Amino acid sequence: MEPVPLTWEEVARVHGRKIYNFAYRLTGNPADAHDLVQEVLLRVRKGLAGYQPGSFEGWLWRITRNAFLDEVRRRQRKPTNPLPDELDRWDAATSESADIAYDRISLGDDIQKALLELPVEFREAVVLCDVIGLSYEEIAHAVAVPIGTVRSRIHRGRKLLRGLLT
Amino acid sequence: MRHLSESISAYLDGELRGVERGDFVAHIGSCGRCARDLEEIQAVRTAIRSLPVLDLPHGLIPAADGEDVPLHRHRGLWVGAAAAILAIVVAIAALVTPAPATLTLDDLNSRFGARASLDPAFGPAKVFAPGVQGLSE
Amino acid sequence: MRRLLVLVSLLALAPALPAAAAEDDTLDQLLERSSQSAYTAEQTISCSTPDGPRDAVVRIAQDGDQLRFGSTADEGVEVLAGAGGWSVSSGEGVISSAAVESAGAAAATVYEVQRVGPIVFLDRAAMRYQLHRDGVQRAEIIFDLETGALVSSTTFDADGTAYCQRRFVSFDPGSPEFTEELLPPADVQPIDTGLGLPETVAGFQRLDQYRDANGLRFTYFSDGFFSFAVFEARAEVAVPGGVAAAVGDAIYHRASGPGQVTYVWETGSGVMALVGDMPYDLQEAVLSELPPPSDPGLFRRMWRTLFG
Repeated sequence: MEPVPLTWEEVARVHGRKIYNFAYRLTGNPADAHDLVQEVLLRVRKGLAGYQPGSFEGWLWRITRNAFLDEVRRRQRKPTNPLPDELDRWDAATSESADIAYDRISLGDDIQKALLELPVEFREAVVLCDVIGLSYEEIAHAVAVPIGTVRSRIHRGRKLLRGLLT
Repeated sequence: MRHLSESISAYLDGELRGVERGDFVAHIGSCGRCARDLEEIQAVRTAIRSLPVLDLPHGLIPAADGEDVPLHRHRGLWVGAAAAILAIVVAIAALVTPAPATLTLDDLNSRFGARASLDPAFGPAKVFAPGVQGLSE
Repeated sequence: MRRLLVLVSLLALAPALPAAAAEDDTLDQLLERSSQSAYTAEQTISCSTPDGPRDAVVRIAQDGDQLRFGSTADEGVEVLAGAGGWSVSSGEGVISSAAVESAGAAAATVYEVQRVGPIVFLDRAAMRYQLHRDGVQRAEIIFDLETGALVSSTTFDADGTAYCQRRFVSFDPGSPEFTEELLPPADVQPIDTGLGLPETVAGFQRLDQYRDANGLRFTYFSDGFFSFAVFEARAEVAVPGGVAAAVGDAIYHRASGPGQVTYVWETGSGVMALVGDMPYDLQEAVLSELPPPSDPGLFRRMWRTLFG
């Protein structure tokens, strides 16, 4: 059992970057990722008092994905708000130095676009595995499904991506 | 094997163990279609794992600004190039296949060194030091 | 199954070897014996490059047509080559691998071989040879007489100064008994058409070409001793420790390593790179016959922007 961070600042410092990368890859844009990170930290702050020692990261990832899914459902109830996985919301924010003479096209853009076309449960499984680096067991714990389901979602997610990227 | 195709991802992620792994490897050896699937899935997996790790936007988490906690335990092929990285920026007209966002010297050197070492006669004259640039300072 | 490391020897079946080397053995015979030797060794690599000295120590194990090596400085990164392919692996598993059923070998060598004579190396009987290319000495190589192993190899610049020296500093004859390898998925494949490069470049013969799952392609050339690979990629290349080097009237990005040099530059269609173990004048000769940098002026401007 690993030591539990005592304050949400510690959580933020140690895990913030991971949460942001998860949020960015799941939503595809910095603004939504920004909001998601803040929501997660808010919930962590509220929940730390009641946290039961166990797997801290598992708990953290449950909070993170619940925050994400809550936002998805919230937007689904308001049809005027585009869903996070609609492409016109996606905005590859890049800042280029004006001195560099030519445009740089990020190869990651195509992959990010394709990720956003995956069903949410496949997308999060692939992101937790390939971006965050969790093991199947850790993902199963975070997502509260059996390991076999994790394996299936990751594989089907990758197969869909393969079709989208060629 | 009924679930073989899903085992492909698990194999690439190091999640197959023992007998299941042995059976899978044996199956790949005799199933051309599964072997092709494996290659395709590996390409996708590598492409996603090559996505850049994003830095926290400054000010989002003030407590975390300036922190550099490693994100991905499998990040990158060759861990440890801590020296300042010189990058060549290239305009790419069209992306045909998923490609890594950045190649490292070791990607190139390892392929050359491995191919050069295929000839065992001159083998010892062709080996190289993986991951070492040999800077004398 | 192409995906597996096919256990096919790259060499034709060799005739039965004499029990011990004799003074009148030809280089071919010694190379043949070398390709059947079995040992474990440590080799130092020491090079004087235009960018400064470059040194490394490598662990090598050979068992006939299989060669395994890794850096002593970077634990866990290892290359296994021969017997139908190669694989590059780290502590986390296989990084890259190729299944190659038959790799090309240079048909006619441009080298003249002179036997210098017997020599003692690491307290063992050995034989020394020199290789000359166009009348210039390019290499001195030493073979251990009992095992046939290539225990030392020194290469020379055009002016006769030593470029790279490789020497075994420890040597244990005998089979290293490689452990059973789990078959890795092959992500590098031999292909029939390469980058559209000529069949010979500066006296080097084009042998084969490869492509990996990520789209990186390379073509391999050899002159019978030195060799190089030309890469083409549609990706950025991060090159730590490199310098801007003027070669001919173009500017390339060069990183000199222990035993090989890497040049990277852009052409109209992407990034090209050259990795080779030949000395500087041959590097220059090869680069002059490859597609040049597309806009040397732009590269210079970009260089100033990035590095001041």
